Amino acid sequence: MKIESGKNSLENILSKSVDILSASDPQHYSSLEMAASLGMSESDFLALFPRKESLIQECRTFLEKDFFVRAVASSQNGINFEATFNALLDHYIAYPTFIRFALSYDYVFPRRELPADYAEYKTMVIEELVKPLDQIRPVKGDLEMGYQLTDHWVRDLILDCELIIDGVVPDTPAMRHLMVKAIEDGLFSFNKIPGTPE
Amino acid sequence: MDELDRRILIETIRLGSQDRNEKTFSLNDIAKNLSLSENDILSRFPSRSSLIEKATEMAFTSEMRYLDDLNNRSLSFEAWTNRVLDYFIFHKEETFFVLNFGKGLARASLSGADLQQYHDSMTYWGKRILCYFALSSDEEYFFVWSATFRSFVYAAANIMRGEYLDTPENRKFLATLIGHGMNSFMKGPRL
Repeated sequence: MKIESGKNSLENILSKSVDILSASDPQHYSSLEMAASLGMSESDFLALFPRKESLIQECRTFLEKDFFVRAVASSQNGINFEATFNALLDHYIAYPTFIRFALSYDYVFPRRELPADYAEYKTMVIEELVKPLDQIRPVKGDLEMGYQLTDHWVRDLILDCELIIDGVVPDTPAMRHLMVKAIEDGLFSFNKIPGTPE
Repeated sequence: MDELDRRILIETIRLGSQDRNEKTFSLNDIAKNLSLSENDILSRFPSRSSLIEKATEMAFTSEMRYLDDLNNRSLSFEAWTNRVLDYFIFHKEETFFVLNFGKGLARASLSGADLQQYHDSMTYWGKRILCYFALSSDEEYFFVWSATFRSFVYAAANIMRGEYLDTPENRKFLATLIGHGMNSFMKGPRL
C-alpha cells in the first residue's frame, strides 16, 4: 500500500491508532495486528512507525497539539474558566478513546521515571499552551508556575472526563460546577464545620 | 490473609510500581522473586487481575487509614498537607503502584463492578477524612475527596521522579492549590 502524502492521511492513521491503542494493552498487540487494523501491510506500517514507542509518541503528539489548539481557542472564546472547561469537556466526552489514550500514555500523568524526552515535552507545553493562556489570563508567578497550574487543571479535566464517560459521576451542570469549583477555588470553598482546625 | 498472601501482595506492589507502558510484570516475575511457582500464586489469587485488585485494595486502604488517623492530630491544613505528602513520598512503591493501577488515576478502568467499588470506597473514606467539612451529598464527598487524593498522589510522584523539588515553597504551593484553588495564583479580578 502506498501511503498518501499529506496531513489528512497521517492524521487519519494516527486517529485510528489512538482508537486501537486506547482499547488494548501495549503488550498485547503486534505490528502485524496494528497494520491489519489500519488496513495497511506490516511493511508499510513499520516504515511509518519502526517501533511501538514511535507510534505511541506520534499519537501522543497528535492529541496534544490538537488539545493545545482547542484549549487556547476555548479560552479566547469563553467568558471564564468554567466556560473553557465545559467546552473542552463537551468535546472530549464525544471522543472517549482520546481520553483513554491520554490516561495511559500522556506525560501529564506521571510514571515512576521522567521520560527521556520530558524536557522537550515541557517546552512544547509551555510554548503552545502555557504562554498563550498566560496572554489571556496571566498568573502571578513565572512560566514554571504557569506550567504547574496548567499541568494540574489539564490532568483534572481528563480525569473528570473519564469519570463522566465511565458513568461514575453524572454529567449534570451541578457536577460540572463542582469540578470547576474544586480546580478554581479548592477545598476551602466547600462548607466547613465551624470551629475546626484551619 | 496469611503471611504468604501478604508477601505475594507486597511483591506485586513492588513490581507493579515499576511498570511502564512497554514493560509490565508477570506472575512468573513474582513467583521467581519469591522462590515460588506460578501455581502457588494461582492457588491463592485466581488470576493476575485478581492479584492486582487485591494489591490495589491493600495499598489504597493503608493510605486511607493513615490519612484517617491524621484527623486525630488536630493539624493545621498546611501541616496536614505536609504529612500527607510525606506519607506518599515515604511509601514510594505503594504510591507508584496506586498510580499505575488505582482506579480514577492514570489508567482507564472499563469494568462497571470495579468502578462502583471505587466510587463506594472513595465516598466512605472521603466522609471519614473530610470530617471537618459538611458536604451536601455522597456525590460531593466522592468527588471532592477523589480530586484531593489524586492531587497529592500526582504531586508526590512528580517530586519523587525529580520533576519538582521537594522545597517548603513547592509544598506551600501545593497546599494553596489544593486548599484555595488555581484562582489564588491568577492576576487580576476573577473572570
